[in-house]
Amino acid sequence: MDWYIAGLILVGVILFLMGMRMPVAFAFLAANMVGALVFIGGDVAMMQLVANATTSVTTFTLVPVPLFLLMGELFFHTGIALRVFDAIDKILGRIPGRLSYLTVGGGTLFAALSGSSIANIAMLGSTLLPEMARRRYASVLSMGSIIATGGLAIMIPPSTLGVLLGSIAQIDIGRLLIAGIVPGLLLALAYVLVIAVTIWRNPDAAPRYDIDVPSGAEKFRLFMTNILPMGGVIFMVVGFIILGIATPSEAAAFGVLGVVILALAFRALTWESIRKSVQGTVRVTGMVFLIIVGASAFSQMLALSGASSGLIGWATSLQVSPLWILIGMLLIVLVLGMLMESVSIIMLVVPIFFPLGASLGFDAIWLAILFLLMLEIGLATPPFGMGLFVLVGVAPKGTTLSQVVRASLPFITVAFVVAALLIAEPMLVTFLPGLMD
Amino acid sequence: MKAVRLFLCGLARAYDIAVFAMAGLAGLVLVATFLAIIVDVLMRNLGLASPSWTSALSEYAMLVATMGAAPLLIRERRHVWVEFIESFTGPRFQRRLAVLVVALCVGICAVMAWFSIVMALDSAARAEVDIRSIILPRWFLYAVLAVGFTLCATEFGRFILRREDMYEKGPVEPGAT
Repeated sequence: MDWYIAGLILVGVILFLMGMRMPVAFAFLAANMVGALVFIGGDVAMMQLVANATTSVTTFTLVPVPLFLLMGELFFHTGIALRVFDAIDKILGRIPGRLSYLTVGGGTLFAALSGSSIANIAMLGSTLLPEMARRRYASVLSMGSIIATGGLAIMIPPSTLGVLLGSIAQIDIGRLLIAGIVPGLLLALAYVLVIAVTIWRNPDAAPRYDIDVPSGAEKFRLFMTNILPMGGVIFMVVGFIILGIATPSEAAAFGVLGVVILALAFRALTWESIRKSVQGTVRVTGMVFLIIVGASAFSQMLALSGASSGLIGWATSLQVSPLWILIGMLLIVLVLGMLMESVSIIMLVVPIFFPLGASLGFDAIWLAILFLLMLEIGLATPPFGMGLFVLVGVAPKGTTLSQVVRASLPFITVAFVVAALLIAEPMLVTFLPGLMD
Repeated sequence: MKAVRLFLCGLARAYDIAVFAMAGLAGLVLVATFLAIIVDVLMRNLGLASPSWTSALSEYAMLVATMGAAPLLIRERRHVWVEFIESFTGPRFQRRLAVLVVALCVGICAVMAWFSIVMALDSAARAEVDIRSIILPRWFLYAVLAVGFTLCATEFGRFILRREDMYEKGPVEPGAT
């Protein structure tokens, strides 16, 4: 069988079943069953699928996923998130567009403490959007900044999607997480610029209003008691990995411990918050890992059918610059991001694109960061960007999807600019992980 | 007749307990993983002999957590699906398609459960072991899959039996079978 027909069968079955609204994990399982029967045949094929399923998630590289999730859940359910948010709000004082800057500043800090973009968007949307609407902020500054900043959790460590991508692509998880820091901060900076330019061009986009500004001493106290301790938790995760004190799995466990200690210090740790946090972690872990169990044999099927080697042979024989192939891959990830959620996309494209990227000489960590950036942009792109639905869900009644889309356009544009910058200067991605050598 | 009804009610209750107990087990192993890693790192840094089983235990915990949570996730309709067909098809077509999808999912889970049972029995007969930092009988891994996929199949089948819409999210309570 020709490689492209084999590839079409495998990818086609998955997309067809997903199109039928089959839960993603089971669509992958079904496609792998079809692939196993066609390319291996008999009971042995099914046994191979079962054997693959047992090894798919029993790997230490995936352990940070539930731990990062638990860390984020505890952060939200203990109320520490709101406490930090309130402190940043007071410290910012009277600057024009304060609530938008608060979104980016607070959202970036949340991204460093939680691995979930959806949780971030929901949190920022439910806490800040009503106040921004009441203060008559333009939608670019309110909804746009929230949806853009919420997505930063995909890039800034601890990123659960980063761990997942690294595990599937067999990249050093620690290096990949650290590689997300500079692009994440660049994105945050770009979002701040969008807000500043918007307010500069139209001061009415963020009408001024009087607030009680705390004294300098009070601001210092707020910083020391509410924000600085978060730095300790971030250090327990990122710092431990960079310094080589702990593996990503161990750093994730210490991140959880850090949040638990903070919650105890703030007297915010209750059995109820622990129960809710563990429940939330179980739900998301089960959902994500079952997709991995279902999709575990996909890369083997692609290899067995000859689709992987055929695609690589075809792509490397093309008389086009590898840059165009890279752009093609990123566009496919972006378009899929408009239609599907991120874990499914990773399971679908990583087994195909990473071997191809390696054959073209692309740095795996750099490629992974670009993929994560496309997934982040996909969150905010119509028609099915998950972030759009989450924001509409928590936004004041009457908010439409098209309003959110229009509001996020300037932020999506600057995210593309950052993507172009990362493509032109791979050092921006590879510099920090390079320090870990 | 009353005895049969009582038996069925008891069976349904026992089944519900099994589904929720599996999810509880998933939570328990995740918390245990967190604690085990902390203890391991602390002992290592204190110069004490750290337990050798931590990494292997954490790895097996991931499979137990996955298959433990899966049945309840199906019941709570928390699995991920792609929704774009909803924008260009009518509700009647979607309902019929949903029944087909649920039936397919029952079949997929049943096949996985069946082959997991076959492999568990075969592995036990051969006394195969999974060697990591600890040695575990390999049938255990297949058994986890077998239990998880069997419950997943019954959870999907439950949608058909109860004529429920798999895509309609609503409150779920224990013992609602």
